[in-house]
Amino acid sequence: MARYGLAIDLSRCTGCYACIIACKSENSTLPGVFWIRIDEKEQGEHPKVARSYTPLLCMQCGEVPCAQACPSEAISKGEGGIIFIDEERCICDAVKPCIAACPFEVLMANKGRLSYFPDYLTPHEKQAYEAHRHAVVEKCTLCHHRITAGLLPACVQTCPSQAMIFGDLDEPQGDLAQLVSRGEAKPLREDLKADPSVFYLQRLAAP
Amino acid sequence: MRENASTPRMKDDTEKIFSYCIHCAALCGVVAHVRDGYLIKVEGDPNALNNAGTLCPKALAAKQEVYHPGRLKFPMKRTKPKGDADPGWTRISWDQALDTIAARMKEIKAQYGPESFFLQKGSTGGSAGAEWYGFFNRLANLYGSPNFGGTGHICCYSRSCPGLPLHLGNKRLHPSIDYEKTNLIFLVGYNILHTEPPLARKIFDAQQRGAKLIVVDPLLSPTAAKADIWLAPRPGTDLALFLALHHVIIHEDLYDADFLSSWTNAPFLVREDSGLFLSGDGAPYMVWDSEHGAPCPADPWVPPHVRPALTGSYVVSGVACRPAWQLFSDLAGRCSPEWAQEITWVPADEIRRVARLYATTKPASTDWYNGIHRSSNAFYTAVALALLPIVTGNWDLPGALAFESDPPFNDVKGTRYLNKDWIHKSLVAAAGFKVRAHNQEYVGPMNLVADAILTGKPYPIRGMLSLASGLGTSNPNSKRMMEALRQLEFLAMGDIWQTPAMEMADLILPCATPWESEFVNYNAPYLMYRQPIVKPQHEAWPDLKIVFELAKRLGYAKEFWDGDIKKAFNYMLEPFQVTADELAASPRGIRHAPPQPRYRRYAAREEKNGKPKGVATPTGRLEIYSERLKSLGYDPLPYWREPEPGPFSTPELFREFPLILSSGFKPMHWLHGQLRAVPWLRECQEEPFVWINRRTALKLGVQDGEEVLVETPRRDGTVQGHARLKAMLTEAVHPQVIYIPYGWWQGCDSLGLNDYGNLDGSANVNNLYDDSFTDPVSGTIGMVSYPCRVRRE
Repeated sequence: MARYGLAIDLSRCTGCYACIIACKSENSTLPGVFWIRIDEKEQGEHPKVARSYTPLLCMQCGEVPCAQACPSEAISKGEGGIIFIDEERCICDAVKPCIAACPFEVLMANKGRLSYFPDYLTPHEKQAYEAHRHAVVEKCTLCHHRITAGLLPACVQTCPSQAMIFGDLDEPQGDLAQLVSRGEAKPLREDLKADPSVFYLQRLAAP
Repeated sequence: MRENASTPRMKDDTEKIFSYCIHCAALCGVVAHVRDGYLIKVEGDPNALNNAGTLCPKALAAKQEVYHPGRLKFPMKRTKPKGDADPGWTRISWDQALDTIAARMKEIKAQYGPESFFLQKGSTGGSAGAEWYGFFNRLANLYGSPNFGGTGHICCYSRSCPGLPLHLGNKRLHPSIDYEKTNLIFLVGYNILHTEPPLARKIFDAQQRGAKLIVVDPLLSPTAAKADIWLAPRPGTDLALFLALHHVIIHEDLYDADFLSSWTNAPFLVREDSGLFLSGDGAPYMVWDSEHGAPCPADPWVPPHVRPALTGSYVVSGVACRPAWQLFSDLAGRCSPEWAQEITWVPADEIRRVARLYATTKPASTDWYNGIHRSSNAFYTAVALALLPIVTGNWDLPGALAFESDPPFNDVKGTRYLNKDWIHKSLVAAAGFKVRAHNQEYVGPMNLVADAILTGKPYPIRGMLSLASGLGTSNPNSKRMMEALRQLEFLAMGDIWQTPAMEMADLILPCATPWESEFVNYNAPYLMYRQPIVKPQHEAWPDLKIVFELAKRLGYAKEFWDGDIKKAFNYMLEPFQVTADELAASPRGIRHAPPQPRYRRYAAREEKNGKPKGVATPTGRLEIYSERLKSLGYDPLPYWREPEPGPFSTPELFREFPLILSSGFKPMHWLHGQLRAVPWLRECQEEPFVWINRRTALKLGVQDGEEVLVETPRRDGTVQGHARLKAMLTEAVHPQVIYIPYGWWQGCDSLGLNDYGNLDGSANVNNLYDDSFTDPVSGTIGMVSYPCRVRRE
């Protein structure tokens, strides 16, 4: 069994949005819907001020808090430990308990406009956007379709800083498992004990 | 896993086109996925050495640029007079458009002379990148106008366009640093992690192996946020900071005396009476041989037994003189860290710490960009900075500052077609920019063009063809530029989008995006024919095709390879002994080993006389002291001068406008004024903003996210303009500084965001500048230390 995951080196993230656009391009998510975002924080007073950028995406938690909150069993753990949402079963109306249950706020419901240029789509864009049903909750799947084809998730591939390390947590000798077992890469919120597959590290000392 | 990505397996019928992105000068290798003739997506090419499969937002969003419904679709002509609220744009054919442009160009040339027509280009990454500029320049040269240009004066003038040829001999060479070898990275006014995306991973790799990153920037840019040491000088005072670094390096004996003696003009004796170099014994220069206590001629080299003095005061044949290094040391000696602290706000201790770290870490690299090219003291700021690697011997070595030339394609600019007299008749030379004329840099600051149109001085400009340029927003004093464009007898503009300046155009042309154009280039490790990934949408044409078709109509078919673009590519490719068709037949490109970097080129010996090759400066040595500047009427050394305007140079303006307005840095997903209409990119940063320090905002009563008015004065104290922007409260700037990013004019229909315009009340920071505060050497305009006030509406 594989368990796919990521380690994100925050000391390398420059908040450039490449991961966000790569995700948009790869997954054709709807306007206003993001499967990855960047949390930007500033601390201190000029000139003793620091800024951090934290990419946030589905942590593929082993404890699956979103699934526990789902009243219709639409959310389940699948191949490689990836959490999937079955759009047929995602039936809540306005209130989506799964969204509220996610401590990282990385689940979003499709709402609003169904494409960026409604009157001006290529046939392939039309097809890609139509795959996203209105009112269904969506999130990152670690680009499941790519990793099964031997590719890296789109965000990992594109990151100009190479801040993201993709791997299989069940391969003890792999880079990812090593970083985690050495305690170098940690969950964003250890206190939650959510058993995530996404870890964070700070390889370079914070300035 | 990363290796696996280099052999993508595709199950469908998607065609993969290997290409490279020309949205900026970095040229990242890309793989474009095309199905049924439609662009599906663009990804980084894992085999491209430059970006190794990574890719930045600009190229990732290619699809939304190509298939954007808001693009210009057809050539159009104005049917109502300028000034009419509705220009009455009417669709015309390309034949009509080009025939009109050619006819007007011929008329203007016959009536006023070719210099009265300006051929204007935008930045790198415009509608089809910078690749085609050589052909546009060729057109200008054949037509006979020396007035061809863009915005180099506020971008990269003293870095690579032309660089610092008088000091470093690096005319049109680009700094090139081996980040795998460097142990210290010193960056000034250069948000490198965002503006050179493929360098980001290399810089972090260097930091990971222990190299220190030092960033000088008044703003906490994304790059400054990653620095081991961030120095935040008062905007426009970097020169004082660098002089203080020299002070510490000299005072603490951390300079490389051997390098200075051997390879720079530091030991050349300077006459106290004239400030020129002492010559004698048939040699153009003299040094003082401290070994023998006697003067010794330098041609510019001296025999190995001579030990040239760097310091002291000497009398040679009755002439009092001192080594150039002594004069430089005297200057730096007056610029202590405490002195600089008063001027720059950077603590003296920090200056000492950085000077010591920089001077004692080898190899240390140094680079700079347009942060320092936006100030009235920009030229000397760049000089003082560039002397840091020279003084410490961090020059032309692996991991230090080195320069590289472009790949050796045949040059197509056709400078030989331009009568040499015209160089001196260029606006730049006529306006008195002697160094620019000396360097044969006749490409002009655009404010000179506005002057020439509005005042007829030094001679009138009557017509203009502008391609890929946001003339209404890309230069300081947009208001004046718009008024100038209104006065033109003829203005044709080509772009992907309808830009604000097109309000003043007679003709507008729809240009292809980078993804719809073709060219040949070297993108390591491949020599490539870059085919159009998809056909141009609507009736858009690549800029290159516009230039070729116009050249034919102007009678230059012969000089333009019979109007055959492929033949022109073949000419460019001759040094590589390959044709465009041969390249096109190999979709991956032809593998061509990247040139091995060559270091210490100055020390290589000439075959004929065994003397060192030196550098391409007036003396043949790196120049600490520029006699050429002195003889052209400028200071030979980088003396401190306050930026103009500024709180100390124009205090009267700061009484009513007490804050310092700075602009410059841009994040990775924008390229200058482009791409704001692309919704994927725009969703990441929806609105233009002004950064205001939290403590200042508190005093002003401004809330985070609130809309504010930013007002600035003209030189005479009356209001120059105002911008309406959303306040973003931050500690990234000093309490006295506000920061406005440039390039905001365009809306994004898809997200319900309207165009902002470019004049008063818009988001265009360039409307806030009076363009009369200029650097006398480079023509750079004072834009980082501008007086302003902020108020709630």
